[in-house]
Amino acid sequence: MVANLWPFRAIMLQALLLTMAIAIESIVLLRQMNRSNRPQVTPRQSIQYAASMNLLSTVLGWLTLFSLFDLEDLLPPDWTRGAQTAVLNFILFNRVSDETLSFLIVLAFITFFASFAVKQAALWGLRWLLQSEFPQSVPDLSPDPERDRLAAVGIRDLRKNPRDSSALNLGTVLIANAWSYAAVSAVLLILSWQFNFS
Amino acid sequence: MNRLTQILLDIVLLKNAGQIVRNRAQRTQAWFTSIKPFSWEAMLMLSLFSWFVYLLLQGIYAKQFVSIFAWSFLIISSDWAFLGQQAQVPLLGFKFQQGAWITAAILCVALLSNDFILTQWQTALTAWPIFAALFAAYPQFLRPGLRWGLPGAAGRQDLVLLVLVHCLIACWFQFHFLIQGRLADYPYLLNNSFEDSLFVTRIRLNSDRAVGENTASRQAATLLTTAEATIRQALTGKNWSEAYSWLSDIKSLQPDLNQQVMKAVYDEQPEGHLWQMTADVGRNAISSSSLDLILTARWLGASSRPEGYALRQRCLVSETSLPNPDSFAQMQQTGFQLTCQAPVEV
Repeated sequence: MVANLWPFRAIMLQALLLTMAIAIESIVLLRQMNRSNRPQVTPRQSIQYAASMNLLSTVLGWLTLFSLFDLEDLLPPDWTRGAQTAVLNFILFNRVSDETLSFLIVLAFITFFASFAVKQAALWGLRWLLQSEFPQSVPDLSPDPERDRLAAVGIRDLRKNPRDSSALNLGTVLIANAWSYAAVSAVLLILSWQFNFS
Repeated sequence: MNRLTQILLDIVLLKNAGQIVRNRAQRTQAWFTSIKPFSWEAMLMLSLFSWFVYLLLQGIYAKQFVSIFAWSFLIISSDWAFLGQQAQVPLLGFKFQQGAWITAAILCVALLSNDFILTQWQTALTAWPIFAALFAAYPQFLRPGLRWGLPGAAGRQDLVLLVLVHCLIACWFQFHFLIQGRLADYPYLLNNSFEDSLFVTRIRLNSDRAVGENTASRQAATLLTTAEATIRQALTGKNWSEAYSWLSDIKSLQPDLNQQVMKAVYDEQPEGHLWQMTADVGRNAISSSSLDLILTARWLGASSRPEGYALRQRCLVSETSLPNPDSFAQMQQTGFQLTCQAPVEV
C-alpha cells in the first residue's frame, strides 16, 4: 500500500519552530548565564544546551501524544468519539471549533509549564553529565575516593547552595521558555491567519 | 571493443574457455589471499558462506540458526566497513554517519525476517533511527585495545544531541504511521480536501486520482441502497395496509435499521460508527394515497467541510393492486410499489 497522506508539513513546521526556539533560547541562555562575573557558558555551549533542551521536550511531547492516542484506543469508542473527531479535524483539516480552541489554549498553558520543567531538568542533567569530573570508566584506573565523591554529589552540590541562584538558572530557563513560546505562538498565529484568509 | 564485451563474447563463443576459467580462478585466488583474516571483507565472506549454508539446509530451525550467524556477520562487516566514515548533507552542512544508518537498516531487516522484537515493518521503520543512533554512538565508547571508556565532555554533548535527533526522526515516522492507522480505520476521510492542514500533505498518484472523488458519494450511496434493500426485504409479503403501518412506525425501528445497514456494509470496521442513517416517512403532497420515504446518510466524523456531509434518497411508496392475486380475498387488498430516485447530496 502506498500512503497518500504524508506528514511533510508537520516535519517542516516542527523543524522551523525548533530552529527558532533554539536560536532564541540560546541567546537568552548566553546572556542570562553570563551575567555574573564568572561566565558559565560559551556561545557554542549555549546553542548546544538550548538544542538539547528543546529536542528533549519535543521528543517527550511526541511520546505524550502517542500515549494519549494509545489510551484513546483502549477506551470504549463511544466515550472518545467526540474527542477523536475534534483531533482529526484539527490535524487533517485545520478546522478548530470554539470548544477545541479553548481546549487548545488550556493545553498550551499546561504545555508551557510542563516544557519548562522538562527543560530545567534537562539543563541540570546536562550540566551534571558534562562536568569535567565525570567518572571516566576506564578499567585500569585505581579506585579514587575523591572522584567518586564528586560523581555522587553531582547535581546535588548545585542545590546545596541555594544562595548561589545563578548556578541553578531557574529564572533563565523560564525567561528563555517564555521568549521561545512567544515566538512560536506568533508564527502559529500568522500561519492560521494566512490559512483562514486564503 | 572494450574488455567486458571481449570477455562476454569469449564466454558466449566458448573460446579459450579453459584459459578464461584459469585466469578468473587465479585472479579470485589472488583477491582471496589479499584479504586480511581480521577485516570487514573476511566478515563479509563469512556471512556469504553462512548464506550459502543457509541455502543448502532443509530444516526450518537449522535455517534460522544459520541465518542468525549470516545476519550477524553481515552487520559486523557493514559496521566495520563504514567505521569512521561521515557524509555531509549538501547545502546544510550537517554531518551524519551513513554507515550507522545502513547497518541499522540491515539489523531491522534481520530482526524483521526472524520475527524477533520487530514484527511489523512499521515498527521496524520507527526503530530504524534509534538503532542508527546506537550504531553511531557506540564507537565513542571504544578505546584503543579491548577497553572502553566514557567519551569526553564534548563527545558526551554530541551523543546527547545525536540520540535526541534520532529519537525525533523516529517520532516523525511514528506520527506518519499513526495517521495511516486512522486512515485505515476511517477510509472515508480520504475523500476530503487536505489543503488547509498544517500537518499533512496529500500526494496523489495517478491510480488513485482515477478512483478519487466519487468514492465519497459512492460509500454513502452504498449505505442508502443497502438501507433501501433492507426496507424492501422487511416489506415483502405485506399488503398495503400492513406496509403503511410498518412505514408509519419506522421511527421506532430506526436504531435496528441503522445497525443492520452498518453490519451489512462495514461489518466490524470502526467507520460504521461514524455514519448515521435516518429514515423519515411523510404523506406525499401530490397523491394522498402515497407515502414519501426519505433516507439520509449523515457523516458524523471529521470532515473538511464545516457543515459536514450527508446524502439523501427520496423514495415514493404508492398503492397498487397486487400483481397476481391468488384468491378473491387478495383481490380486495392492494399491494404497494417502492420507487426510489437517485441519491442527492444535501
